[in-house]
Amino acid sequence: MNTPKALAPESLYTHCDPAQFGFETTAELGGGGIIGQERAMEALQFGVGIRREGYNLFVLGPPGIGKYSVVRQYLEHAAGTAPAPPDWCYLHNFEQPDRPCAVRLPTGRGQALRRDMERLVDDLRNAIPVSFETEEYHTHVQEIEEALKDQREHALAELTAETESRGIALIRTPGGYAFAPVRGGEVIKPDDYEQLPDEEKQRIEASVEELQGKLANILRQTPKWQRESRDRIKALDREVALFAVGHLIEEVKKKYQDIAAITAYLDAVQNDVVEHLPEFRGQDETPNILGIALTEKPSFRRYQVNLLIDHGRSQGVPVVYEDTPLYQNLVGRVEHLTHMGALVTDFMLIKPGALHRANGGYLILDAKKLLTEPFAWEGLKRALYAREVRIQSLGQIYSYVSTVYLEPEAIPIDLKVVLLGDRFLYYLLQAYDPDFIELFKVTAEFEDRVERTPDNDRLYAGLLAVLTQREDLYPLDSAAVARVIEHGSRQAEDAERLAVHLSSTMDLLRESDYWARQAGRVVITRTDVQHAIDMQVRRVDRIRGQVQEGILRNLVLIDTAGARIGQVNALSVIDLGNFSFAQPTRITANARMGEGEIIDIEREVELGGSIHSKGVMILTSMLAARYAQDRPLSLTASLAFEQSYGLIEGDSASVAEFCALISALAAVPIDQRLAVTGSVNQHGQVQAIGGVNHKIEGFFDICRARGLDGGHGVIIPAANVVHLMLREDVIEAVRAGRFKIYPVESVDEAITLLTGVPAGIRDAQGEYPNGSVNQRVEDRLRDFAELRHEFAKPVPDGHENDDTPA
Amino acid sequence: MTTRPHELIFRRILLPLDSGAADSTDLDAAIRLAARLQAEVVGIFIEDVDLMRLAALPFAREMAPLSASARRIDAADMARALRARAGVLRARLQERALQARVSWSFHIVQGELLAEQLGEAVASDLIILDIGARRASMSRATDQVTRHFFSQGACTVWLRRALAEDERPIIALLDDISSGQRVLAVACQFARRDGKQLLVMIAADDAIEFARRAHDIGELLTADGMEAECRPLTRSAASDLIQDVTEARGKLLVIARDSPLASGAGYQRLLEDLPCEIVLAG
Repeated sequence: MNTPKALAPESLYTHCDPAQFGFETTAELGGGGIIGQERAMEALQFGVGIRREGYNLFVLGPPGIGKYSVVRQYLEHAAGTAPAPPDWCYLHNFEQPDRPCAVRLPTGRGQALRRDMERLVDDLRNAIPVSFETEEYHTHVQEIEEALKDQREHALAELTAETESRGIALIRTPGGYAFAPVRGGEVIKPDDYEQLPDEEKQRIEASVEELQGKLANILRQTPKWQRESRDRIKALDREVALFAVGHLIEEVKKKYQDIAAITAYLDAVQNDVVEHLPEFRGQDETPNILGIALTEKPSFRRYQVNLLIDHGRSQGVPVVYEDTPLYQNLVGRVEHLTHMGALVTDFMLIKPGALHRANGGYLILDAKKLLTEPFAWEGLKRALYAREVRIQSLGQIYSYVSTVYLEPEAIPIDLKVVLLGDRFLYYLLQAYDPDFIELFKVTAEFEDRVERTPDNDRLYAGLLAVLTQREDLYPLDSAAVARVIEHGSRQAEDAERLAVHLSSTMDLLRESDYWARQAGRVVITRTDVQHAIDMQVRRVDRIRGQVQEGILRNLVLIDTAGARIGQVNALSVIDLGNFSFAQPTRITANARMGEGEIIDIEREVELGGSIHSKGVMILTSMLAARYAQDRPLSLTASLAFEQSYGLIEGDSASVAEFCALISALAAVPIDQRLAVTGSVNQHGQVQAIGGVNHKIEGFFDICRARGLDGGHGVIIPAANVVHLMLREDVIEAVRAGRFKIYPVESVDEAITLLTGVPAGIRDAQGEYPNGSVNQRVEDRLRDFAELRHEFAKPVPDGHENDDTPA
Repeated sequence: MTTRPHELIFRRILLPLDSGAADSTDLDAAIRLAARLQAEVVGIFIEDVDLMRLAALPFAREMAPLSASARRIDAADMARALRARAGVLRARLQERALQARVSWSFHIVQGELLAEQLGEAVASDLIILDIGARRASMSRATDQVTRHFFSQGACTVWLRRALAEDERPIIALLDDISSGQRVLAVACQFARRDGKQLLVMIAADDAIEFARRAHDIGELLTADGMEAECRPLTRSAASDLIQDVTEARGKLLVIARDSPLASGAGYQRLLEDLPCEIVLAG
């Protein structure tokens, strides 16, 4: 086994060559395409193309990578070529006013219908009163009223004649009518009546009774005659009104004869107009108290058209993004007005939701917003399953508010819903909502990283050109573009990949533009980009400064010189959300005879995460496999992250932990000028970890502050070399030989580097070379095992076992 | 020409009210006219002795129009009903008069309807009688009163009936030279009151006489700020007059009390068949 060589400076950073672009500035470039999202675009194309139920799309990817822009751009392109969908309106339902009718109209005819109905109502309001002001009409009404009077008077006259013939008079009293015998034109006096013969009195009383019966018949007939008279007037009104309005309505009907729903509606309008003539004639009296109307004044609103969706001026099918996907913003709502303290509504107060507006096209929604709005997700699913939108307020569904509600007729929908969300939400929905699988069958997954190839570099330059033009920023020169690409690589934590996080790239461009303007330039240069990056870091690295200050003031003990047994510098990353950095952490190990137990102190106090615990268990297993195959692992060791007071997660310190333990067992000191990172498997192979650049830079900063002597460096997994995109100052130090970065593939290489003593490889007899670290470890463990064996022997009778082996 | 239109003033308008008064149209008409002329409205409620006699009869029953059922009544019931009725009418008159700022008074008297009305009419300039009520309610007493006033009354009598408000004209019938001026003056007052067109029917032997009389009338009216259409009245029977008024769609016919057309059996024809209100100018 050879000692691993330190990496050359060229391996620490993969530059982007500005010469490859062939332009001076991005102003020379046209629109750039979409980078590295072939899979997502294919899915999008498929999802948009397939017109089957449930083939809605879920576009997933990390926030800020430009999902919305790409999807919107694609959908608008697809939408522009299709014919605009039909208009929709709500009309008054004359049979069931609480259930307004939804009517579909050919594209662009909604506006015309609305205007035609307004004009029709105006015409009716003019024509109807005129028709009823004619002499002919009044004469007819007079005739009917006279006929009623005649009918009653004739009956009463007959009765009066009969009454008078019997010497009796019909007299009007305060409460009605009465019959009384008369003498000489006057009602007979009671005394005179008493003087009459009994026969005469009987005759009079019998006559009165009979006449009362006849009068009662006439009075009973009166309401019937009045009703008949009213009916005749009503029929006359109807006849007059039909003559006045018929041709007006017929004109409109002719215009809409191709739409059966409208012609039927106009028939209903005609009937309603005839039924409500007093409103048109201005005869409708509104009851009021102190001048405040108790009911609404005669309203012609019911003849209006609530043009819910008007595509008269639309080009192509709609692409709608609902930024606030509240339940009512999706399915629409019925608004209310207050009248005399009560809430009232009608079909004109129905407002469309996003599902109405996007009907026939595409609706884009943010999945997180949708899921966090109460009832919105359920409302959307209900609409997609039913393929119709039914406007029901939550108050109506759950009877929250006691007021008048409408139940508008549902409107059929045919649209694609595109949900935008991150992977976590996607898999959460997949796992917990069976409806999601049924309704969102197409997944378009956006990559957050693309391969860094010359072609992609050029595409990325094109994208930068588009973004600067869209935001009216200065163009970038080719070197600035190269720096942005390199920064993208650093963000991707991979020298061979490029992060396509549109949001942060946009921020970098804006800030670079700012610094270019501050410097009086009209083109963004590499210097401006670098300055923008530096200032971004500067604005947020206060905590990093404090952490490093703690180490440099020896408040946190980190040795960067000398050698120590059982002590190693590990590296851990602190993620602050918008900023990450790494700090060195001291790991220490102690070992003594025991029962094969390695105590992870972090785990014991529940400060170690499950992945970290897994790493410790792996190294325990590896320890037994390497050094104690033919005897018990008679060791008790403890590992601790010194001065660590937070949760430790991840296995990237398992190589460091193993090295600290080996150092303690072999009693070989570890060079404190080095730090190590990497995870280890049971065979001792070192595996890749995350945050390698931060980790190297974190240790570099401390060492540089204390003074680099050429022995400082970081041991990293060999697999991480491709991820290196280090800061320029680190590379300079490496180039000057003052700092080193060692890639290792096995823990033996790491041990060799850290101790300066070969780890040792078993020879043909299975023995480690004398003096090697491994041989020392094996010997120590053998000693522990034998010691333990001695302790395990039974004590002879009469002797007490003491603590000292024989 | 002794009476010019603007010289005619009704100071006291008598409004007889009895238990049979069905609605407030007479009252409203009286108030409106009084407001225009700054006259006083005198409401008189007559407790007809015939009603008290009727109620005292052992078999007295009252038929309620709304239920067509008969109920027993006695003198006390009738007295209470009449008092209640009078109270309602007084309150109504008061309310309307106050609204229109018209002087008013209200009296309750007990006695014979005809005698009491005639008595009150002596001191009045105009008496309002409802001939619509006469026809509709079969009030025997009202019929008697109307007939009497038609033939013997002294003051001007307005025989009202409920008619729809429209643009129909006021018609003045000038068939006698001596009473013509007063008829014209009364007609002018009503035309002014309602803002209606005035139509004057002039009895003349020939076209020349008609033209002369029409000219005189035109001058008289013009001086008073009025306009009128004049038509010749060539026929002299009540039935012809009814036909002419019907054709002219008259709202109200003003006719001299001593007009030959309203004498004898003519008044009965006019009362029965004329489809408008009548004012007998006294």
